[in-house]
Formats: sequence, C-alpha cells, structure tokens
Amino acid sequence: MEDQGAHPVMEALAAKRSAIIQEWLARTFHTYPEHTARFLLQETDPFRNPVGSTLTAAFPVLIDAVLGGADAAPVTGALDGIVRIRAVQDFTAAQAVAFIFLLKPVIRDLLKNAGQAAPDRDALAVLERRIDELALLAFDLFMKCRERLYEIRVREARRRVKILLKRRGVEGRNADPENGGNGEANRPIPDSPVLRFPDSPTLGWKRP
Amino acid sequence: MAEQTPKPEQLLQIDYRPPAKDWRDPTVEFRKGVFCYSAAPKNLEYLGLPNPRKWQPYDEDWKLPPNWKQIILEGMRDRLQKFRSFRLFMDICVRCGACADKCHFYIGSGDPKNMPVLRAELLRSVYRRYFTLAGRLFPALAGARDLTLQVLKEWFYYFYQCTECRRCSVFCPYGIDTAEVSMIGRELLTLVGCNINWVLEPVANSYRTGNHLGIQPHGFKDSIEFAVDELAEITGVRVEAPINKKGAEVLLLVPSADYFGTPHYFTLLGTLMVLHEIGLDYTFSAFASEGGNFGLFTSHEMIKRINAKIYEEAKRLKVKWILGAECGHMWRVLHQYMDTMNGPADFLEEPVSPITGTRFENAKSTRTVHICEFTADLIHHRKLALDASRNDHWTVTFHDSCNPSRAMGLIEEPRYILKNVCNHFHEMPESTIREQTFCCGSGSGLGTDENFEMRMRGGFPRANAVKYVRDRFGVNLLACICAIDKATLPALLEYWVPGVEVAGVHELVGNALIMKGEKERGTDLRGEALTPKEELVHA
Ligand code: SF4
Ligand code: SF4
Repeated sequence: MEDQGAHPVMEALAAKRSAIIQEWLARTFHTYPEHTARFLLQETDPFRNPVGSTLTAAFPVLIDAVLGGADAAPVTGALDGIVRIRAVQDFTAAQAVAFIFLLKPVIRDLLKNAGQAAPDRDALAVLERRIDELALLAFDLFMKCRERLYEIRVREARRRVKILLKRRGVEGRNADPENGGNGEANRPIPDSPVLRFPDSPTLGWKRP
Repeated sequence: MAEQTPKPEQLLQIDYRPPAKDWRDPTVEFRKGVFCYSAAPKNLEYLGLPNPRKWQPYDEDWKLPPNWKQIILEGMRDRLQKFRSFRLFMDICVRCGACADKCHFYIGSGDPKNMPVLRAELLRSVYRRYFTLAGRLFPALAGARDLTLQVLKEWFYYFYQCTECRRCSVFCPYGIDTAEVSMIGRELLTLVGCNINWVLEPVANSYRTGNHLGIQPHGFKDSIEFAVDELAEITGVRVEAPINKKGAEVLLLVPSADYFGTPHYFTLLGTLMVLHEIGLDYTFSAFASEGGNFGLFTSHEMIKRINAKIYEEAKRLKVKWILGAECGHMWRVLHQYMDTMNGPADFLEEPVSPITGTRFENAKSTRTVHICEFTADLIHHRKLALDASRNDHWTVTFHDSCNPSRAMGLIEEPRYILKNVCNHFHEMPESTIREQTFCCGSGSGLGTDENFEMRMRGGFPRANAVKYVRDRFGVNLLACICAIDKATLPALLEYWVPGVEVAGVHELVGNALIMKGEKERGTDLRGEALTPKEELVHA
C-alpha cells in the first residue's frame, strides 16, 4: 500500500479540492447534450434534478479517495450511485465509466496552473493509479448493474402472471413473446441481488 | 482551463459525448432496451386496423403504404378540425420552457427531445409546414419541417417514449397538454400501421373476451374462486363473490391484473374482504372483466370500442351503479371519456352508499364510484373494524398514480385510508407527490420487457424520492392505486431502491380488517407470518 501521508503534490491538490470537483463535474455533465448539461449543473433541488444531484453529492467522496486514500465502502456507494444511472442511459459501457478518466486532465491542468509544471512523478503515478482503480471499480459496478437488470426482468415476467401459473399448478414460464416462452424463468432465481464490493488486492483504499 | 491541454476524448480515443445535433435532425437509433416491439399483424387484423404486416422499428423498411404521407397529413387535417384542443396546442406554445425539465423521461435520460416542448415540436413542425402560411412560405424561419420517413420514425420513437402522464401540463401557463399531443401522434401512426404489441395485444384480447389476457368466462370464474379459496385459508371466512348476478345493486369493475398478477392479487383479496364484511350486494361481470383500456393508448375510437362493454354489462345485469377498483388509466377513461363516449348512463342511478347513506355527487353523471372514495367513506363512518398493528411490519409511503391524481383529483382519500390502516406512514417530498407526482415511467403501454432500460430512466425521479424516504424513515413499502404501477414499480424499485416493495391500498385494508367470524390471522395476505401479539408485548 502506498504512502498516503502528506505530499507536496497532494497538498497542492487538497487546497484546490473544490475547484477540482467543480471542473470534473462540469466536464462530466458535458458528456450530456448541451441543454441538459446546463440543467444538470444549475438545478439544485435533488428531487427535480436527481441525476445532477447524485453526481454532485458523490464527487467529493471520490475526490477524497483519490487525494487521501479512503475507506472502500463510501467510495463504492458513491460510485455505485453514479454508475447505476449511467448504466441505463444512452451510453456504451466505455462511455458510461469514462467520466472517471476525465479527472486526469483536470488534475494535470490544475497542477500546471499552480506552477507545478513538472510535479513529482511518483506522486503523479500514485494519483493516476488511484484513478485507474476507481475506473476498474466503476466497471465492476457497471457489470453488476447490467446483470441486475436482467435478473429483475426475469422476475418481473414471472410476477405478471404469477396467479395464473399458480392456479394452473405451473411454476413459471418466461412470458416474453419474443422468446416464445423458453422456460428461462424456471431456473431458480436468486433473491434480491446483493452488490458485492470488489475486493481486489490492487485497490489502494484503506480497509475498515 | 488551458487551451493546450489534451482533450479527454483524445486521451481516451472514445467518443464519450453524444454528437451535438440540431433538433431538426430527425435521425433516431432503435437500440435494444429503449423501444417497444411492433404490433403483431394478427392483432391489427382482429381490430380491423390498417396495414397489418411483419416489421420491427429497427428495420430499414417499415413497409408503409405507398401513400403514407398523404394518409398522415389527411389524418392530421381531420383531427385539427375535430379537436379544438389539438389545434390550440399546435398554435399557442410560446416556448417559454416552463415544461422543459418537468418530464421524467427528460430528467432521467437527459435526451432533449424528451422535453415536452420539443416532443410536441416534432408534430408541430410538420403542422407548420403543411397547415400554416408562414411555414409553407418560409419553412426554415417558421421552424417547419417536411414530413419524411425519418420524421415518422422519430415520431414513433418519441411518442412511444411519453407515458401520457400529464405532469408537464401542470406547469404550462397555457395549459398545453403534451400527453394529448402524444395521443394524436400515436393515432396518426396507427393510420399507417405503426403501433406496438404491448398495447395492441391487450386491446385485441379485450375486444374479444373483455380482458387483456384473453381469459374466457370460465377462466375468469376459476380465478375468482381461487381467490375466494385462498381467502378462506388465510382468514377462516368464506366470502361471496358473485359473477353475472342479475339485479345486484352494484357492478364491481377491476383491472384484470388483479386476478392474474402479483402484487395486484393481494389488493383483490382486500377488496373482496371489505365488500363481504359490509354485505354489499354486488356482482362481477365475466365480460366487463377488465377495467383497463389500452384503447386509450391507441386512438379515441378505440377507447370507445373497448369501453362500451362496461355500460352494456351494467345495463344487462340491471345494477344501480358501478364501483371501480384500483386502476390508473381505467379511471382516466371512466372519469373523462366514458360519459360522453358511451353515455349517458341514464339507466343507472346516482350512486349512494347503502351502508352509510353517502351520496356520491361527484359521480352523478358517470354513476361510477372509486373504491377509495367508497372505503374512505366507510372508515369515516366507522363501518369497518380495523387493527392497524397488523401492518406494523410495513413502513409505508404513497405514490400518487398519474391518472387518479392529475386526471381526477383523487388525492386525499387513499391517504386517509392508509393513515387508518397502518401505523407508520411517511410522505415523499412535496414536489414529487399529489398533482406533481412523478410517473412510474411505464404507463401508457410502455411497461414492456423489451423497453426495460427506457423504463428505468423514466422511473428514476420517482425512485429517487422513494430512496429518500427509505433512507430517512426506513420506508419498506410503496402503496399505490394503479395496476400498471403494481406491475412495473416492483422492478423499478428493485433496480434503484432495493428493499422497498409495492402494494395496493386495499391490500393493507385487508390486512387490517377484522372480519366477523375470522380465525386468528397467522399471516398477512401475502402469506408472510405475522408476529403474534403476545410475542410483541414480551419483545
Ligand atoms: S410550458 Fe407550455 S407554453 Fe411553455 S414551452 Fe411548454 S408547452 Fe410551450
Ligand atoms: S405527458 Fe408526461 S411523459 Fe409525456 S411529455 Fe409530459 S411529462 Fe413527459
């Protein structure tokens, strides 16, 4: 595990924490169409603008993880909130998690502007690795979301005609006409899927 | 930020941002998960609708009739003459933007064409081009567009991405109802045979047997008897559930999901219990065996055709009035269309509760009472013995279904009932309930499996408010009074807010209801064990 103590680069960035968050958010919102980007950024009511608010609330947690190393649980929770949204929006898998990488140029620009044109390579390497780990975690979460979607769909098909099936003594048949009732729903269905946090040893976060 | 920094997309070598497009560009991509499959030809044939054929939205060739453009434009002209509201909605929008960020599909997807103002503009631009002078002379200046095949495909994409929930209309200073624009859009598409199976299959089935699944009278009878048997097991009381009983006082109308799907079924059980307990003289009809009317999502003509059975059956069975169970769009039809389309119901009487004597004046002309009004009145007059602690395993919130709340103003009655039958009730934030309620994202026939991702997007604002009350108050049950909600919200919540289940209001009434002659209730209506009273005391 890397040294997470104070480092000039980390200190410089920590001082700019809120500027980093703002810039990263702005760049991420710009992965949406223009009008939408403005709406996501400006509407502060979390119920009128749940997408923007989720991101706005989660980014500080992610930044703290990158700058200081942090516990896995809150990071995973924050990241999950974002990925869960992007997993059902009009993005490819890569586009859905690419917002993590937008952090790299944000940090690089900031350091450059702060006069750290050639910052300590080791410190930068640590930062970049943490960002990469964050991206890997995001990808794991993305896959979980997609799996969850399919599981939920199967369960829904069953619920729709559950009483009819029960009455006929049949225990379930996939009702999807496109699949022609292929018996998919006969397979045992797991209970409400639980998100398992990736426990990769490469993750640099401090464990609780 | 400095100019010379490498652009993120260069670093990544992937296109992370949808290309900026002019809204006039109609190109759409039918990606799996975000559209509904086309209607099977047999259903169009059965209903006598034009252009039955095999096709799918992602096909290049939609196999339209050669004169499709003329058909659409003539259809538009017809409707502009017939519906004054339609012409108004085409003319008066000032693009103030008040509706823009109010649609759950826009909020959840970020797609600008899901802003109600732009959704309507898809049709309006064609209206301007062919029906206004400015649009004919200076199309570009007037924001007019030619009707092309791409535009037609775009209509299909976005009019089947509107749940006709009317949330946007609440915020429009001119009262423009984009739901009605979508309805006309779908009617026009139907003229050239472009409709979806999740809507037309239930319509065809309803036309044939009276209900969505095509269940015939004997099957219907079996279903109701099955419920009566199950109730006897749970409560020890055998309720009466008469079918086609001539001369009964009341015709009970339920959505068919109540007798074939869960969690609807538990609501049916609760309803049967209440009606038994008060000794109401009522009957089911094996033909009016479905309150739901997917005609509403097809065309005005289809609403009328599918709905006719209700008054016909009321007449045949010689009832005095009609009691309608928990359903959303069924109530939009009963409340806003039935009277003028299928009425006048002068062969029925003005509904009066035989138990409390309450006269339901609001139902004077349709002669149809909502079960929540009816039950709230019973509770108000203390006609039901209730033990709310039997719902103590639930911490409940209430989702206002779009149609009962916005189309008929049924807002306080379900809340009044809930507060009487459960001890733990918490509202979601004000901007997400009552008239401002967020749609489930699956209404108007879009609740199908293949459209799953779009539904998750559209339902996100609703789920987000549920998440808030789950995290804050420990809410674990979302109560609602709509059959589509009950079919689709469980999946929505499983994705966004795991741990929150969905129930009808009358399921909770059934749990709490103390019936004469009942045995000690070991389980709730779902068959989940209840904690015996003594154990609670000692705990
Ligand atoms: S609120 Fe009404 S007038 Fe304003 S843009 Fe929307 S539809 Fe048009
Ligand atoms: S009716 Fe509902 S779904 Fe349709 S545009 Fe308005 S808010 Fe959106």
